Amino acid sequence: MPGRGIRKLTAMSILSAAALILFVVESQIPPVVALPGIKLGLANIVTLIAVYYLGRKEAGAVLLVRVLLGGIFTGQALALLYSATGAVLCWAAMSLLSVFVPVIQMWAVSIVGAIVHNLGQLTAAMLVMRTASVLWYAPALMIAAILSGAFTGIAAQFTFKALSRNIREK
Amino acid sequence: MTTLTAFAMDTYMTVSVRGIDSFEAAKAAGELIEEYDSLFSVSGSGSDIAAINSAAGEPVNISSETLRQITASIEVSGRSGGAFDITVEPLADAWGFSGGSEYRIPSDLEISQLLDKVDYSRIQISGNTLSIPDDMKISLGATAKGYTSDALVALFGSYRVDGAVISLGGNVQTFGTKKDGSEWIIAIQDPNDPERYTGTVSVSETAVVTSGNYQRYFESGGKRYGHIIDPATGYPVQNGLLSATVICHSGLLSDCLSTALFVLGEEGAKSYYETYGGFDMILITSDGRIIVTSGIAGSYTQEKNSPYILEVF
Amino acid sequence: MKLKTTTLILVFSLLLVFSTAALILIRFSGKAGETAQIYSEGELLYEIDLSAVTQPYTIDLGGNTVLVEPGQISMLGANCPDKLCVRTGAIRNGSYPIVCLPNKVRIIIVNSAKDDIDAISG
Repeated sequence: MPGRGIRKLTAMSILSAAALILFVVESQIPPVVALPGIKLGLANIVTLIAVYYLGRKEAGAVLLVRVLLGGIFTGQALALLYSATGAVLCWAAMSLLSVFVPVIQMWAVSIVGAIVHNLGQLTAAMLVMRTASVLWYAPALMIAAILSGAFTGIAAQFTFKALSRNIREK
Repeated sequence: MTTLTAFAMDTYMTVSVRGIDSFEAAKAAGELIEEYDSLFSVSGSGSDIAAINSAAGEPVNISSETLRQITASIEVSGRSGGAFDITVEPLADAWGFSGGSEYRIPSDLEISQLLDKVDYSRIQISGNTLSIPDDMKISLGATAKGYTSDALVALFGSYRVDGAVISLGGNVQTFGTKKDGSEWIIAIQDPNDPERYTGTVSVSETAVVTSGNYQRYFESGGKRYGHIIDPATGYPVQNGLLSATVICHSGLLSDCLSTALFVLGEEGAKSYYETYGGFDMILITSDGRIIVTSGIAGSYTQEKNSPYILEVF
Repeated sequence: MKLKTTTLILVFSLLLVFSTAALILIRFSGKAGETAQIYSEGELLYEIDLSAVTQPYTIDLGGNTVLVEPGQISMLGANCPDKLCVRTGAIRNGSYPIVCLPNKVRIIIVNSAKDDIDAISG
C-alpha cells in the first residue's frame, strides 16, 4: 500500500491529465452559441471533483497545470488571460463554498463557480478592450453559467459518487 | 457617410465622406495622409525636409508637393514682412516645440544667436532644387496640413463623392455639400475653453483654419509659452490675440495666413486684410472681443451666452 | 449554514428567469442607431453611416474582415480559432456589439446624434 503522499500525487496527476483532455477536446468542438466566453466548461468537472476529493490547495494546483498547459496546447495567449482570470475566481469561489456545502449540493457550487468564472472573464474583457460595451453580454453569460454550471456540477456529482464507491470497494 | 480617423502630423485627423464611393475615397484619403505624413515630417528617410536640413548648404532635389508649400510660404512671408517664416524652426526646436525635444526656456543669448538663422529670403530655389545656408533649418509645420487638405479635396474630385468634411487637427476644409444641400456648419473653438466654441460659421466649399497659442503650449513659473514663435523676437507670440481663423478657398493659403495673422496681431492682421484681401478672418482677442470680417459676418452665428463681444471689421 | 435544495433551485431558477428577461429586453429593445463604429484596441478606426450604404463592401483589418452592407454590418472572416465574431452574425442596431476578443476588435452601432456642427476649427 503506497503512502498517502504518493496516492495524492497520483490522483492529482490523473485529474490534471483528465482536465487537460476535457479542455483540449472541448476547444475542438465548435461553439454552440455564437458569443465569446460561452462554453460548457467540461474541465470544470475536474476542478470541482478535485476541490471535494483532494482539497482546495491540491485542486488549485491541478487547475494551474490545466490552465497553463491548456493555453500552450491550444496556443491562444490572450484566451489564456481570460481563461486564467475566470478559472482562478471560479476555483476560489468553489473552494470557499466546499467548506459548508455538502456533496449532494455540488451542482449548486458548480453553478456559483460558473457564474463567478463568467463574470471574471467579462471583467477581464472589459479591462483589455477598455470598454463597458461588453457588459451587454452579462445576461447571456449568466444564463450560460447557470445551465453549464448545473450540467458540469451534476456530472461532477455522479463522477464523485462513482469515485468514492470505487475507493471504498478496494 | 464614411468617417476615417487617423493620427498623423502630430495630430488627430478625421475625414468624413458622403457619396457612392465614400469608402474608397476615405481609404484613399487615409493612404494619402500616411504618405504625406512621412514626406512632410521634419525627420525620417522619406522626408524632403530632413534632406534639406541635413544638406549642409548643398542644393537638394525636392518633390513638387514640398516645393508648392515653400513657394506659398515665401509669398506670405514677403507680404507679412517676415511675421510668417518657415525658417523659424531652430527657435521652435530650442523651445521644445519641434518633435521629441523637451520644453524649455532658452536663454536670451541663445535666442539672439538663433535669430540669425531665421531668414526666409535666404532660401534659394531653382527649378525643383532648393538650398538653405548650412546652419538654417525649415519645417512644414505651418503648411503641411493645409496642403494635405487641399490635396484631399482634389482627390475627392476624382471619386463619386457628393460631400466631405476634413478636419486635420482643427484645420477644417469642406468639399461639396451636405446631405440636405445646406451649407457646412463649422464651429470656432473658444481659446479660453477648448471644450466650447465661440460661434459657428456656415460655409460652402472652403477651408477654415485657426492658429493660436492655446493649441500647444507649456507652462513654467506660472507663465504660458505657446508653440507659435514670433520670428522677429524669438519668443512665443504674445500680442493680445488668442487665435486667428482664416476662411479661404485654399487650405494651404489659410494655413500660412492663420499663422501669419496670429503673429501680426490685431492691427497687423487688419492691415494685411485691407491690403491683400481674398480671404475672411475671425480674430479673438485676450480682452474679450471677436473681430469678424464683413465678408463672413453674415454667416457667423455667435454662441448663446458667449463671453465675447462681437465686432465686424 | 445549511441551505435546502429546493431553496437553491428556486434561487437559480429566478436568476435564470431574470437573465433571460434581460437578454430578451436587450435583443429586442432595438436601440436605434445607424452609424457603425469599428474599434481596434480601443481606438476608433472607421465610422460608417449604414443607412447610406448602397453597395456591399469589405474592410480588411488585418486579422478580421468586416462586411458592410446596406443597413447592417457583420464580421466576414477572422484569423482566430473560434470565429465567434463571425458567428455573431450581422448587427443592424445598437442592441449588442460584435466583439473579437483575440484581435481586440469591436464593432458597435450608435445613434449618430445629428449635431448641427460638421467640424470644429481650432
